[in-house]
Amino acid sequence: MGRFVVRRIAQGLLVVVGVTIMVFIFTRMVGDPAKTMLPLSASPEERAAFRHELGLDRPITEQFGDYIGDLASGDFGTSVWQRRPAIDAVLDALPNTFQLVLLAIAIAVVLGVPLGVLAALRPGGALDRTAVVLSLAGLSIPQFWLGLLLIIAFSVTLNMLPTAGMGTPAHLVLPTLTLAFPALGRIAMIVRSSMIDELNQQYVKTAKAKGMPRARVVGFHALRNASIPALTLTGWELIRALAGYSVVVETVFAWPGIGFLADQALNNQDLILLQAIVFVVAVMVVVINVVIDVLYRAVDPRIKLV
Amino acid sequence: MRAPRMVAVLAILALLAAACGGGGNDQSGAASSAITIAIGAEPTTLDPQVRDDGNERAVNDNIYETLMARDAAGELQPGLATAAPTRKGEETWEFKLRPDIKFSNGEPFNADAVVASVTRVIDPKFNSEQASFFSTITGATKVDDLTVNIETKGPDPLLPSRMYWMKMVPAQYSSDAAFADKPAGTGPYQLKEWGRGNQIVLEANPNYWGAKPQITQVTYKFVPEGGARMSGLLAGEYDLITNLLPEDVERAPKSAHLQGLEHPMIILNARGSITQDERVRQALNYAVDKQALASQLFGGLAKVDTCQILSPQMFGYNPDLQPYAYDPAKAKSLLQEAGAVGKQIELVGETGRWLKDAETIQAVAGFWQDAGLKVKVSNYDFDTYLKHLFQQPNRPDAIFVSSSNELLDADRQYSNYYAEGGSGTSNSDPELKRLVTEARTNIDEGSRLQQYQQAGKLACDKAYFTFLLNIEDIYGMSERLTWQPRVDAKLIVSGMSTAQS
Repeated sequence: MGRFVVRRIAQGLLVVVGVTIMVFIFTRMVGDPAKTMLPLSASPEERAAFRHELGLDRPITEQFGDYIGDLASGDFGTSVWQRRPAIDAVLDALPNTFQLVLLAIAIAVVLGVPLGVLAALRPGGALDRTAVVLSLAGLSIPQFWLGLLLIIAFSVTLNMLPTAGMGTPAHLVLPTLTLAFPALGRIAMIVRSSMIDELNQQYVKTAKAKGMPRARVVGFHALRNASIPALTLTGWELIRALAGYSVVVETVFAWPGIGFLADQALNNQDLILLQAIVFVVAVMVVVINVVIDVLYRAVDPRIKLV
Repeated sequence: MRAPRMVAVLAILALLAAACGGGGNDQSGAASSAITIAIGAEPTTLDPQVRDDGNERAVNDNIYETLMARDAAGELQPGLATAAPTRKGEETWEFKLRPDIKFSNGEPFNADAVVASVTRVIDPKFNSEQASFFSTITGATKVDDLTVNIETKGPDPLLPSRMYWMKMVPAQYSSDAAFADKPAGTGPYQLKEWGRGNQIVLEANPNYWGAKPQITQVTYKFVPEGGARMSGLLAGEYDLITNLLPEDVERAPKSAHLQGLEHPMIILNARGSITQDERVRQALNYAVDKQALASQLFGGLAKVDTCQILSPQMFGYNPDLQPYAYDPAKAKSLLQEAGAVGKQIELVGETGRWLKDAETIQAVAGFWQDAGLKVKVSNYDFDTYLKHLFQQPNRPDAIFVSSSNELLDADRQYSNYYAEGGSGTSNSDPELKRLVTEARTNIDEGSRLQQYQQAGKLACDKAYFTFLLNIEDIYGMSERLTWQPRVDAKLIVSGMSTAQS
């Protein structure tokens, strides 16, 4: 187990290095901040000075060397747009994203797992059909649209919840629901199908035949095995929410997390800040992956660790 | 899901929402004089001399003041100075300062503060984004406590306008690291709270030297998405939102609009390709139904440009110029005469930077096509687009740009777009260049105005641009807010009031 964890971490580090190199290359392809950040009327001299200030006038290899060197010493550079260490901007936004994402995934799991189990108990029943519709809706409704619908319903029409920003618990409700909805659907579906599989297994039939109470058979034996794919999926949902969907949801609800920050960094052509965001997100994705792999093993010791 | 179930689910969601405390409407009671304004993004600093963007300005315009100010109609007036500056020699302007004014941290506003403010913002090491507004200023000298000389590189008739843009900061505290987060100005409001990521709250400055504003507290929320700002306005969360879309005017509780500073236009290349021919350039002007653009794309909230890229409030505006009429027959015959019928013209544009940019470009391309040209529209991302805009040799035939002018003086736009050598200029007209260059350093206001008006007429006659529209600034407002938008688009809270019950 120890060796496995070390190996996974090493692999993760390799991924982070690869992502770092790619981010450097891509951000250099995005464009020239000296043009987009200065007013149209700025003189060529002002633009040149700005480029010089950012070091963009130096050979790309030199820029890359410095970038790696600085990263190694924990220096992510100074955000051009925010004019402060890029990592500070990321670390300020990160807790806000965590708050949103963890709550959303918790809601998705807490509602999705029982929904999947109940749906599996009576396939084709009303609850099952509801679960299928919900999950399909979650998959197919674009999140920005869902967000806007919720705003229209609960903020504009019913006047119950704020439309944007953060501050009170009420501000969390709509963005969390928007983020949770697709994950809830997917988790319910995977729990449903693996539960149906498990319920048809011989060991379940045996347990039932031995007179074990149904609740115990379903809730303990079958669910334990059925939860393995759900666990992987939950990890994926976390990654998806952190690295992708949060951009959409945070922008719609003006929620000041890293997705919102990434959107603004891109609009402001702030390459240094973008690099820091992608780096931090990449590290999180790797960490979540390692944790999921380890949990996997804890839930089911039969799984081979390679 | 059957309908009753859907209702049940919605009811549960509603209960959940109610349990969380409501929160949407925290401004109850009409007597409250606190308002909420939604701006596009959170300011990255409240240091008023670092950035040059609308979000920082929206807040700092209420905390800080300038030597010269403008009224809502755009007239230059004394601000922290007692009167307009007087000239002391070719390169020096003298300002007299109002006495007994203090910054909200207790520091006095005096000549030292002005010298510190000027020196700070023009210091290349300070790297201010506002530097291009002050590029002619070389320094400032204290004469006595309430008198300051500001020196320029050569004669600079624009200096009073420049000082309308330069915010005054306290001499000592402005070098403190805390200054960017805890601002101290002389203005009618001071910072109460900056909850990062959440809101900025200003409260009335109890020691303000001028008239007391009616609004005692203003909260800024940061909402980049136009639809979300509109929803917040409809939900009663905001009292004022900027950049309301023309199509949302009807839905907003209240709206206000005003002829603004923004001029979308098309720069025509007078140095090469088919647009080198004056007749073709004129034809491109006759071909476009600008009134249709104004009424159909902008819901009537735009005016047809009077053959110049200046708004009437700007210095240099020529009231005698008339737009090229919409005359497709004339456009066709001019193109025929020039032998340009059926030839290709490339129109370079971008998407999403300015209000309705892509739609405007498409519409113009359609009109040109109807006049008998083959139009190739190249819409680029902003960075690639700028490469084309700034490229001096081989400039594109036609390039869409939207031009604004915060100094409200022709110099800023004409030196950029009219005079050869300007970053957006596509002509080599020696007369136009002479007029704009001479006006730049002409201290005599009367003859300077004449030079700009002549330049405006020349560029109109020669059709160096396809002149399009002057777009209005549109604001959405709550029922209770009363406010007249300003020509310079500043959100001056002391000029706002709320209905009292």
